[in-house]
Amino acid sequence: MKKIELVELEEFRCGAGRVYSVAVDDADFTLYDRFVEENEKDSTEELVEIMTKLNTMSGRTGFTDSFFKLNEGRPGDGICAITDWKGKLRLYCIRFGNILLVLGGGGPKSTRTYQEDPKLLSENLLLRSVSDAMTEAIKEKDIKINEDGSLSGGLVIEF
Amino acid sequence: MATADPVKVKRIETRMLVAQMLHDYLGLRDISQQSLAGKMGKQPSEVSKWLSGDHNFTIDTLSDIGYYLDMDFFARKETSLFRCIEEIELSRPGIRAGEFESLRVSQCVFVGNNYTTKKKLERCPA
Repeated sequence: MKKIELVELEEFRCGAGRVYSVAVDDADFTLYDRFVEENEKDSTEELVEIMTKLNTMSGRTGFTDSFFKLNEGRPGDGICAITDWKGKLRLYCIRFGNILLVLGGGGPKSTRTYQEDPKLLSENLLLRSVSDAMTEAIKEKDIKINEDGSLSGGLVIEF
Repeated sequence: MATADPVKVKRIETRMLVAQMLHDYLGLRDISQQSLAGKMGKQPSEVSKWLSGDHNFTIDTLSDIGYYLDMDFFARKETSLFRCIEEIELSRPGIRAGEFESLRVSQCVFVGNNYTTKKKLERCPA
């Protein structure tokens, strides 16, 4: 059994949408915190570009679909990726319309497909299970997505 | 973000905002990416790249898009230079166009509540 907590990232609360990440099994850091820590040294420029995109989307444009690499998971699970313009670093996320984004982890992409890279594959699969758990919680009305993109209800899910 | 170069950050933001303008315009006019690509003799993948927020548009490309979509990326927003000080109902008896002569009147005509109105504007303080 896994336990996740959806945590709002206050640094991206700028008006156009809300950004959350996930803490797994009572960890005191989120998947996004880990992604930043893992890449700030070797992929600084790419990381800054992704952070700037997140800032611009959460503050001004909303999470417009064309800014993402869509369909990175199974059909309908909302898994997509944000990359730098060269596509060297990718961050997996779940997009709920233009107003809510849940960030997972990611890493540098050096293989042709993410399935060939064990790190990217495991991050992708983890976020798929988060997406499944969230979809179920929304269906059961345990979690509600509000008009401003914020989440209310039980933000800790066990599955 | 401490190590971010503010010039580069501004570039990324600007690319995304231009892409968003184009995205919104296509959505409002119900124009598909394929249709725009067809009009301009481009591949749909190129339009997709424009909308990704990663594309460094040239002035010529923006001009071409503007031509084919009848859109002006560089339209001046009067509201940034002028503020509304009075809204006049032109259809109301006793109001004549001559009363506006000494003031700048915006080109916008607002139609609502059975009145055709013009906004009387003055230049905002610098």
